[in-house]
Amino acid sequence: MFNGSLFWFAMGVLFVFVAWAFKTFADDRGWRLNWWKGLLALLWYAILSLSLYAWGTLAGEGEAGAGFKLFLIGLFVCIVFGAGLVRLLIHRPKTQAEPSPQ
Amino acid sequence: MGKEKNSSVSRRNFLKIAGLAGAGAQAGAFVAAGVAAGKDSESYTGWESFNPGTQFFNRKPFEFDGPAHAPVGEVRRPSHITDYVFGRVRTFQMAYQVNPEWTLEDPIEDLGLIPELVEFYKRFPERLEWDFRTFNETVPANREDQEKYGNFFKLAEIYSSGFTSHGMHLPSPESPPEESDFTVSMRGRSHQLDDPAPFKSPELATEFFKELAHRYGATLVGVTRTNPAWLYSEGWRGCPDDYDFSSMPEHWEFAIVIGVPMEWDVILSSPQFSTSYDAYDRVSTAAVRLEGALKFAGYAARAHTPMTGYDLIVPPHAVEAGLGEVGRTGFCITPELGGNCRMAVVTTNLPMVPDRPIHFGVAEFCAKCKLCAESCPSGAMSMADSPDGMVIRGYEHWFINNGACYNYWRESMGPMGCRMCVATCPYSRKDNWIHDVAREVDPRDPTGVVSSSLLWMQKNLFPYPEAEEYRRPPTGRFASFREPPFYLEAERYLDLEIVKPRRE
Amino acid sequence: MTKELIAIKEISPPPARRRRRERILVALTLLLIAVVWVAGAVRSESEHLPCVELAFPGAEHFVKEEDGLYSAWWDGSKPGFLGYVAIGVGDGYGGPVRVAVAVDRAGETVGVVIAGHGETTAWMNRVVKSDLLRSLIGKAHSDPFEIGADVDGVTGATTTSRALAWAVRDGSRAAALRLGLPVNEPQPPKIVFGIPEIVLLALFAVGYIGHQGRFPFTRQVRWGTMLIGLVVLGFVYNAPVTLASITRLTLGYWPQWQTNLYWYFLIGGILLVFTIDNKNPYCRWFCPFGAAQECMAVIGGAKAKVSRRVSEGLKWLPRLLALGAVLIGVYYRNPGLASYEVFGTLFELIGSNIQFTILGLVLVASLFVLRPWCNYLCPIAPVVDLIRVIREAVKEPWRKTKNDPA
Repeated sequence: MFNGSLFWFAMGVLFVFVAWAFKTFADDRGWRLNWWKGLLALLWYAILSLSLYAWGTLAGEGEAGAGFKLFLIGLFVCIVFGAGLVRLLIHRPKTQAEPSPQ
Repeated sequence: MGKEKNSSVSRRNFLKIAGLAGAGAQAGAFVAAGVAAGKDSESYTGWESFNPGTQFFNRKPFEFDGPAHAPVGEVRRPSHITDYVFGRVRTFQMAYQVNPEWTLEDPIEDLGLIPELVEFYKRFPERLEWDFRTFNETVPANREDQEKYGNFFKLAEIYSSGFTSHGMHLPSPESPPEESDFTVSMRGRSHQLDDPAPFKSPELATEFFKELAHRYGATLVGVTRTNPAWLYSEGWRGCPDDYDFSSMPEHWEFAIVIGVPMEWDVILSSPQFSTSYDAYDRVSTAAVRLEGALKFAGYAARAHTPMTGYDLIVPPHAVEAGLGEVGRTGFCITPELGGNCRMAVVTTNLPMVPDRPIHFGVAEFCAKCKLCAESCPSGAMSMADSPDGMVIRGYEHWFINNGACYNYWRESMGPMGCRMCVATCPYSRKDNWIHDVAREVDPRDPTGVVSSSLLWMQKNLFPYPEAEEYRRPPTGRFASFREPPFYLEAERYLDLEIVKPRRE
Repeated sequence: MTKELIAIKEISPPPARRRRRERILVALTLLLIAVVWVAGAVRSESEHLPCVELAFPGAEHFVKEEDGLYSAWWDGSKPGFLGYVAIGVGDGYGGPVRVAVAVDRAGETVGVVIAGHGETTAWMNRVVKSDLLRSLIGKAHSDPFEIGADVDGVTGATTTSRALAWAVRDGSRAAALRLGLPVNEPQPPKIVFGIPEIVLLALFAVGYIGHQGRFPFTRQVRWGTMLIGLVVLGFVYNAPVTLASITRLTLGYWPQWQTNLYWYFLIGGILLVFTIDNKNPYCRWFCPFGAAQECMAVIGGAKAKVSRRVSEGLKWLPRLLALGAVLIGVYYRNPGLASYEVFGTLFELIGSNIQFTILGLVLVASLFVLRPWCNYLCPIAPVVDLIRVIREAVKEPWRKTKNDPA
């Protein structure tokens, strides 16, 4: 059930929802999301998803310990990358009207 | 202000057009995906893996013009008397039984062995020690261990026996090649071959028989020219002792090499729960089927298999046929199956197109990896970075002490044999996306960074028991690399007294 | 970057009462180390006999000779002298590596057993797992025993490999001499002076210029030295200052200068600059692990915002850890034993699960807090503090006599 064609079709649909929700979330926060920031956010989400998928695959193969450790490595990458990404997304370019935050 | 509006309008347009293009691309992709779903081998209930799709690795980018395995010294053909470990140990043991006072300190000549064997033992004194230890200490100790721990491994032996009892019925040639290879047996009667079926070209003939080979049960198929240097120097099946073994029969021109893996969960529970016979039986069956088909098509054929015997050695033919490369373990490491590939050969005179050997990074990986050597329970494998200077019968590859290797086969529990090197080899992995990424990316990286990272992950994320844990108690605890699959757990199914081996 | 980081501030003398308390604590610490040193000496007097017995295959009976060698014999049923077992010594990363070397009458090495070492556990495990020890068996006493020549070293553990090879050479020659076999004079060791040594001296020099008071480009220079330190001293050579290098000083395990110039430059250089200038040239300027943390800080926007009282209290954690590690290393005469630093884990990706977990947590923390390892866990900082207190204590009477117009 978790592997067939229809499953991946459904995952594709879900992904569209997640991306749309993220855009709405960003808009609500006043983040200026341009195409390459969006791409970086996508990359981050892909790394996280892939780490989870890898953990599951290795666990299914009988190597749950190895899978968990691999997931931890991916998680570490996501935390570091995520910290930088959040700063990037929040950052507002200074305009004439806006005083620079101190 | 106006400029912003323009750019936002063009951005919206861009998005709309891109979206439309995306929908168009998806439409085409859905059709293509549909075709793939319809053709998918997984939908061929009962025949899912009996098709060329099991040989999924694209070898084209890695092919080169052979020979892959060129001699570096004087070539000596392999011998059933000396190199072939079962025969050698049995000969030695029989001579010892006649001279029970002989010890390792005494000269080897005192045993009355044939001169070739004496010379062999003088060249490889460590094999003399190991072979002696095998029948003198290891086999008797193993009988005691079977008494004590045998029940724990009983289901594994039952699993294996199904295959062995079938494989033993496969027919072996009973007359020399010029007779048996040209004789077809069907329903108890034999007759000479019909006229050969006229194939339009060797390419088409090769394609046809490869398709058949997969349907007959072969996972991997490759074709090469049989090399006379790799024929046994004596003892071909069906031949009398005075037969002329010096030259290769002409009709053995081509060698179709086929390979079949051992069951994946079972092989990971090496050395105690695994068996060679599941693959031995399947590959021998496929080879015998192929031999039958070739003969029925009018071509001379002879199968060389684990269950029916060999007149040649298979691994170098597999390497020349592009199935894989030789690694530290001494056998052929294939991209799809790693070391988990048991092979057979069908020699024939059908005009075929040989495949080209491949180079996909095994030797470089083996130089860094050494996991098999570290895990070998009897320390039979070399830890040297490269095989430079290790020449066996004229060919250079990593040294294996087959006396030590065979010794542990007799020490281990469950179906005979060890197979640790197959299980630990990082190449011996199933076909899921994680391993497929490694398979495809690693050979294409010239810097070696990918293989170093993969190796780091292999050694640090995955558990590896110490080599001595596989030994018998008290040195070890008859450990297995991984737990056996649930259907081989004796405690789950059997109402018996079961003693699990522990370090005492 | 606040001024605190770029200017290595002169430590102004603290109030007198605190100063006296510091000096008492330092004196107690030194006393404790001395006591443990003595206790450790008593402990290590034990015989090497178990290793000796393991080393010689087939020998049943051993006699300790006056010169420290052990002669090996068959058991009573087959009388016969087999050879000698000598305890050879080689210079390892954490001090001397001792190997029981069994040599037969022909001068051939027939067995080797490690009898003692100060190497970091993960590195020694690597070497033991490899073929190195097995490959040393069968060598003649006249062989060079050089890594890369007649002995294959273990990747990533060159110093330990070399120490073992030379320990076996040392033992093999000692036994050969005793057997009356011809032994060449040992070649004087080649002086090792290459890229790591040159880069290190350059970093000291540039750092010296960089932290002069009026220098305008201090910030850029500091980032330059940090990044070079990170890449060269960190990832390429994995040669930061570790507690093992300092503990071996306490034990008097001074390494051979020809092959360990780097160690002398590093430790000696830091001590020298500190003694003269009261400045720490290493930690904030080219310590590779510190640099790694500052790179994380750039990504995550770390701020050095921890309350004064908290940071004063937390200062004691690394002090206690460092003291514990030094005491363990001194007692067991094994500087590498209690090395809890995670530097090697980052630069060579070698370590236990615990070390990797700590490394991960430290790196994640350094996204949000500035240099968490340096401030709350590093054993080098307490050692530097200790030396500073001693320096102040020593300098004071000297300054007094200088000012005193007697």
